Amino acid sequence: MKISQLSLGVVTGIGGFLEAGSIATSAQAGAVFRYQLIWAVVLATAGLVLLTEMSGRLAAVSKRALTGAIRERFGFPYFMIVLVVGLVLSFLVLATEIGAVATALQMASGISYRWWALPIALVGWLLLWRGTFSVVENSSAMLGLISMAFAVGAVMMHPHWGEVASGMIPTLPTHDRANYWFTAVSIVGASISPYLYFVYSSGAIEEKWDESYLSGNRITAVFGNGMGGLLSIAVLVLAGLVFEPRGIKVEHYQQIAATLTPSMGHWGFIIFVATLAITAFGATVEVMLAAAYMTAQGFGWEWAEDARPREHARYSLVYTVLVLLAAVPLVIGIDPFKVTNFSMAISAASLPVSVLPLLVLMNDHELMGDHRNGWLSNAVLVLFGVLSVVLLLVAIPLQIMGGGG
Amino acid sequence: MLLSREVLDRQLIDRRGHKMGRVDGIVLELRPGAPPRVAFLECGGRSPWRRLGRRLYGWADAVQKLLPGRDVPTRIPWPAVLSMGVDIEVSLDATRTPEMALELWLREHVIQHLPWA
Amino acid sequence: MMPPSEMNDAGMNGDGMKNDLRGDSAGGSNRGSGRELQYELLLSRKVTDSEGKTMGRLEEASAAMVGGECVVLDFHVGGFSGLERLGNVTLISRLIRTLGGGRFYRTFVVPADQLDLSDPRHPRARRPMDEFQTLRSEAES
Repeated sequence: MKISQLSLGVVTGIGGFLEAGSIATSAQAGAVFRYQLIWAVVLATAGLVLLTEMSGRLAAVSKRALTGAIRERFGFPYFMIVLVVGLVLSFLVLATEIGAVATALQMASGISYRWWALPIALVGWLLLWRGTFSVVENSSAMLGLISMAFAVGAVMMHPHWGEVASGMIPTLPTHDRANYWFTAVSIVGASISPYLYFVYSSGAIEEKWDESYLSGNRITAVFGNGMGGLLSIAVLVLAGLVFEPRGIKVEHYQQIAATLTPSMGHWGFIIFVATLAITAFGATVEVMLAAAYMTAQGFGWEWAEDARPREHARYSLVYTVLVLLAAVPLVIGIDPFKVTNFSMAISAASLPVSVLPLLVLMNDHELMGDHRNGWLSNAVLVLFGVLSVVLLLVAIPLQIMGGGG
Repeated sequence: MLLSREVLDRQLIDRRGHKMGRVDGIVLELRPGAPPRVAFLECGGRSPWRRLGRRLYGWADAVQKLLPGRDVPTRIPWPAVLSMGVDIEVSLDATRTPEMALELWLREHVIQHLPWA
Repeated sequence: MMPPSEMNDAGMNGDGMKNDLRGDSAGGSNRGSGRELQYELLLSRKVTDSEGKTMGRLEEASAAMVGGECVVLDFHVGGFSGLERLGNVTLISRLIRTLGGGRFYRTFVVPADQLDLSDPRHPRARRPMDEFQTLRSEAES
């Protein structure tokens, strides 16, 4: 793998990791539980590294993207389950991200997010429609680096690093138990978004990866997501420093700007608005792409990141319909922050649908040859598989009991 | 050759190198006094939806009748199969098959009328 | 081999329309001397042996070119011994087999002429199950 591709991959990981869901869930975690839930971010990041590396390896060795491999090994009926879950989740995450961009624009302009939702959806749509995703991908990766401001802000506020480090060890909550576990579940759902590794494996196919890309794949997976995870922790730490001592709960995106103002003054506000808008917009376009890819790959249609509608009518209509539908909840006035919390819980609950097949696929001799999972990867994957099933069982009850904003 | 593992649900590529759907069904011909023969590979139309079971097939069938794609699956006779690897290459032209009917209809009646296409 | 011009229209022949479902989810229909059957609808059907005992579920068929035709040689019927009814419930069964439960999984090889497909929804082997060979390798997973 060329150095330029590698660095782009890492940068995309960093810029792509942090988006509306991670920002919202990390901030809520820090505000209520200070540093106690850092272990959840670490765990979720580790999971994402694992799933990203595997879906990249799957594509490079078997020459199939994840959805295609799932259909081939599990058949059309199972693919339909994955597709329906994937499309519902895409709709929810799209509403989340568009809502976040709209909120950022509301913060900048004073005009309600309800007016911004449709224009944002249309701009995102147009970027794919005109076949300019690769441009979007590169620029939002670069621009996404602005999210490093959270790391800068956290360092500037001199937290007690020993205390921060102790948050990496899982501890039981002393108060708000249901909320604690619900927030932990949401953090996992926000970080491990299936669209990330579905797009990643599709990109690997488009770039015609082969076995020589495997070490580069590992580096990208570890550093891209790892650094992204650190940024989530930075948001959590900032919220812990700014909100927790005052007992302030985070219930709107607008509040989270206050994590950067103590260290950066008015610039903190501007940088926060820009970070939220850029990262959430990048995610918007990527989720649209993921949904179209998943549908096209499963049904066997032509697909490509810069596919033009004149030659790819069905593919193009998938993301078109989806993004327009996703704008609706926002236009009619549903609170973007509430949408975010709900979507992250559903995202966590839906993990088994993609994690469990990976366990089978990564051990398939014909698909993976000598690059099958070793016993350690399998052990970790099995643990994640079990965890994902647990999440499926608890996410909804917890939402009802303790969280859900 | 294993039908489930190596043929069913595989990606089909037409003679121009374009993707033309996946193998959604395999038609066997049962002959008295001779082993069954693979007569056709099927793609598109009703074939994948039938695999979801009676009730779901009923719904999918109703939706398909609304679509102009016609519910006729593309039938690919065995001699048209050129090679089988990661994908199955066939000697047909995708645009002449029912599989592309929905795609072509959408291009003409929907995409054409949308801006900046 | 059909000449190229016919192959282009292969999908549009009248047979494609007639042979679609007639309210029978196994997709069988009659057409001249041979009867047509949809292989993908046979999958996961419970297969019983000549004594009525459940062997497992139909999960695979092996085929080969014989005299210019692609001919089905045998059907593979698999199930967990004792839990033959579970058979190849795709994800769950494959998960168990991947994680090492493969030794409990038995796959019978039923030659094509030994499987009675007159009722495609209830395939029946023509002999008792212990008269069939089983697959040893995990190649089927």
